[in-house]
Amino acid sequence: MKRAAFAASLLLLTGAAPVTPPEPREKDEILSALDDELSRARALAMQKLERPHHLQAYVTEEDGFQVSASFGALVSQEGGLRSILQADVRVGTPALDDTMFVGGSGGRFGPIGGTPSEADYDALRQALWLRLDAAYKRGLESLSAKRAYLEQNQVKERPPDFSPAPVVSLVLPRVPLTVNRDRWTAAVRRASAVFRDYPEVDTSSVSLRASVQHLSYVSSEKVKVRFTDPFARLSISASGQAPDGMDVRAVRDWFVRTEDELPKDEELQAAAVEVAKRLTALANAQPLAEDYQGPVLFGPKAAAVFFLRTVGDPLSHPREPLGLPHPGRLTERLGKHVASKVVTAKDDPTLQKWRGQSLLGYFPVDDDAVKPEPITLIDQGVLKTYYMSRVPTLRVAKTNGHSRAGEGSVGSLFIETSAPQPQAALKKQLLELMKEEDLEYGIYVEELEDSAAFRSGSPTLSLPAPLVAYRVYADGREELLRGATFKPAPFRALKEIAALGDTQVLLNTHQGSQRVSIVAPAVLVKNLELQKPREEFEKPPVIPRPKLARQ
Amino acid sequence: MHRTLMLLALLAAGGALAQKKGAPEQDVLLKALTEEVQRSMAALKGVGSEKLYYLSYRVSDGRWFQDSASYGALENTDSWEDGPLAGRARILDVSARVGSYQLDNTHKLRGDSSFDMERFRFHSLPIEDDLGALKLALWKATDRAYRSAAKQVTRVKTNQAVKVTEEDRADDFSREKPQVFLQAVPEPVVDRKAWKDRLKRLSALFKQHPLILSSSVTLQGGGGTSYFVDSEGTRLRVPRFFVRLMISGGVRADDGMELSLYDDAAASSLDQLPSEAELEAKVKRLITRLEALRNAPVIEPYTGPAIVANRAAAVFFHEILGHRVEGHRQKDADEGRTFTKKLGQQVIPPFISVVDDPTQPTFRDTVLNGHYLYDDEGVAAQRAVVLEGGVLKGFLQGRSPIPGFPRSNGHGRAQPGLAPVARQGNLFVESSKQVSFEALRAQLVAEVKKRNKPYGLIFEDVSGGFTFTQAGMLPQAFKVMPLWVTRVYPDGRKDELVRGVDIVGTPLASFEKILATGDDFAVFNGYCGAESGSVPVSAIAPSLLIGEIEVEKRGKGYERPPLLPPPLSPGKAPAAVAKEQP
Repeated sequence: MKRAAFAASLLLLTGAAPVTPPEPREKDEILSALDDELSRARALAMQKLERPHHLQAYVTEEDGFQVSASFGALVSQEGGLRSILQADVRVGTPALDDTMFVGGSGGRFGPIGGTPSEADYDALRQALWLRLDAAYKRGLESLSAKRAYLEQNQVKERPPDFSPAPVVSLVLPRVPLTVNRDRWTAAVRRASAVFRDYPEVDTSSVSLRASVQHLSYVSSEKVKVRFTDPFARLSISASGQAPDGMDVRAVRDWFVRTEDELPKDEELQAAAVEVAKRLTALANAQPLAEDYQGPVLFGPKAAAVFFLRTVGDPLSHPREPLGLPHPGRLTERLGKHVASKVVTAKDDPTLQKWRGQSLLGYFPVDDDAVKPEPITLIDQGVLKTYYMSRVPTLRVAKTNGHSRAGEGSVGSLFIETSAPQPQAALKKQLLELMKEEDLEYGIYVEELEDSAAFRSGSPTLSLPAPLVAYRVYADGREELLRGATFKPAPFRALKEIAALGDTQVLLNTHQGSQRVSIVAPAVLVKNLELQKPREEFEKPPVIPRPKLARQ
Repeated sequence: MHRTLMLLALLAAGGALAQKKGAPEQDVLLKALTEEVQRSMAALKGVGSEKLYYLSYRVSDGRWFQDSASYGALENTDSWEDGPLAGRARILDVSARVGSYQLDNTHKLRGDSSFDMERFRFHSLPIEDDLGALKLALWKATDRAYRSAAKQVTRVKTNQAVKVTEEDRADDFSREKPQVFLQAVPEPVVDRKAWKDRLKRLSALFKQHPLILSSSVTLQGGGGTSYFVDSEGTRLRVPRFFVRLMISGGVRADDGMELSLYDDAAASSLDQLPSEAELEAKVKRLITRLEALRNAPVIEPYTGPAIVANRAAAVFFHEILGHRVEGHRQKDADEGRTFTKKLGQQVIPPFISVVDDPTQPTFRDTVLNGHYLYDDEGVAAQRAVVLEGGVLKGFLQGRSPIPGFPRSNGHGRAQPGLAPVARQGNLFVESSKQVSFEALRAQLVAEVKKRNKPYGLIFEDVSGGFTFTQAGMLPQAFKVMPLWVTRVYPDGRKDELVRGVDIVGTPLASFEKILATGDDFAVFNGYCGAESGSVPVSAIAPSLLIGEIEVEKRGKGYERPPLLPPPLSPGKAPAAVAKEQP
């Protein structure tokens, strides 16, 4: 099932079968309204055309607070409640329905009227009535376009569009947002003032966003799900220009469950100083002068992003919709060696914490209302399975409870190894690989940008640009570097992994609009290509930076 | 294309300010703007041929809100309300001019169709009064604007060299007297909570009418303070606050045609809005009209006499005349320039005159949306005479001169963050041939008989319209979308409501056919969108009798009405429908 991804990540849940007795029952206007209207919508029919075989509706309410400051002054501060209502109707049969086809009547998305922002029974039913009606009509059009496509094109094998699954009901209590607005407003303002003292910093921001999302889901399989998903993100960022005009950027962020996992004021203040100093160092660092081809060592934080992009993304959304060209994909290599033997990759969305830290990739049931299963994706280099929702592929028929917004995706990805190496050994190995290739220096990447787009179907691995990287010389000396970016790498790069570290770290981040976790150790890759800056840069400002009074 | 959109109002400046600002020296934002203008001018004055000769900062400092309810429940809006600074924004736009008053970077490049993104670049400033933080943000924005202007002026000079001599030799920027006007900023009180409950109650009236598929009652409010500081010495600080209540509903006829109606009330503060009882009457009237419209017959294409009632006539003039007398269009070779060469000529029957006067805050009891004291280029608002006795006398002008008109008349306008062009404010249509509406209707019937037509039409209300003023691809046409149209039969039969009508036509032809006007002047308040964004406007006009008007059938949707009956059938109490879960 394809769905328009929302800016605020949406969980959708399906389910049914053995109904576990829900939690204490207060009256829930949302679940009642969704259930009552969905029951009625099962009768949707138009003349002799196909009927719906599966219907679902979900409401995501978000209660949030956001504050940001720059150079000691607030830039924005707001908060409140908003909600999104969505309805999905699968028209046809599980073997062939209107989904997984590009070229139908356009997105399964097109609300009439607004969405009530409060849990009001009548308003929700009226809105859902119109949404389901529109979804059914669009589904009919898509299904007929899909049938026409199947008649005109030679489609050799086509798996069914929807698989049966052990869906469950789960109604958990709603958890309210707790965030100390005054404290964070003051803390963010104060930390942002640090950048006034650093003339290399042109723009900077310190911001906090704290939210709870209440997810409510009902399906025609008589499933009801409700749970609350809280998160808080505190970010520091700064940018400036190097003397040659190149833009440089430094960031630090904390992405956690609740505010008590965020740093204390002094720690935040110190982190802002650290970001300012790093930016200053970057602005004065030497750019990569020529393209680089050789060994790259990623520190654990960079490795987490590396594995999300090289393992998580390519193994997500495994079903290719009809009507699109099919590039070669990593998912086609099921049962084969796809990575070096030292690499094992697992995913376990059932864990709430890892070494005391919250995993944002946790979910109690997936967006198809299926309980998530811990899975081993890569076992000592061999591809065992990939992320599955209730949408089957040719090789895998069943879900493994990793449906996020309807398609198999990352929850909490764990990278492990049977042969962990201490950091010093990894560095030594980097130097050895360098020598073998007669390189003057090797590359150590401490942090990667964490903002690359999620592209599951890409035939190559695309790594985001390094945020913090060093040249490592034969004598062990490290020199900060700027302006280097990775060239697209083949999937074979996973086989070029020489070793993994012995210290894992946790990174909470986004894959598309979903919150995910990655736990990974440092990784040494024998061969990757980096390129020097290609564009020409703007000159530094003609007007000097204004002189600021200290705060 | 210019649209007058009534429902999608982009909110201009915001509203309730926390701190009171008195003396200019205590106003940190004003200080930052003034000092940075001076510092930047000093730094960039001597830089080669890319000399900065003019710099201005325009800041819209305010907050705005929008609350909306449908079916008795609040709907999502973009404005969160938490916290004393919620919804607060300071939007900056920078105008940097490189070259000279005669020729600068804003000069239109001929034969260039590339899209100028720089027009759409705006910046957010810190919402707290921190001099250093404000200056840093201004510095970055100025640097950007200057670079872009310096790059553009080179292209302008090259373009001048390689193209034939232009018809228009007017300067690029007019010289104006600097203005200083620093008004104290009041603290408007907004009780959103009380209004939210009112909106919920009003919107719940639609519950008994489930075939009205979409409906909402929305309150928008906002305002704030406009700052304008430039290198010529102009310094302005002018507060503005407005509120607007909108009621809208939509139905789908059995043939799939989607029809919507709306009603609104505007005021300059919440306590000036109509009472809840009055608003309730408005909602009920809208409901009755929507249900009637849903079942009304569809009109066939028709050409014949018609009355365009006052508010509709106001939109008519805004679209057909107003947009075509905007000054900058007269010098742009890509424009159709319907009126450019008609100066001093009769373009409309001699009993009609038109002025645009933004200095008027009200018309009779109605607040005028298009009122302002200074335009967005820092020039004082002025009454501009457009037509006198049907003869074209002048244009609406910002600081972009046109041949024969070297000065602005205070009509340079833009939404916060965009570059100003000439726009309308309050467009007044005046008439020396006024009769009562009844007399006008009698004249309509006489015209129908005279022309041997089966019926005449009365256009009572319109949702807005759009007009194309550009030369080339599209016809110099306009379209006005009437909401409420009745057929008037010559044989004394009862008037009949019809649906699915659009007025079409070409501008000059329509004007020549105005036969008489009513004495029933009314105001159309709205928001007008064009290249400088959405700005609040008003148009004031009497009903018009037009000898010949052309209408076409509106394209309709193909969606059937919903398959299942509405979930909350009328008459049934919601509680009875809301059954407990098993």
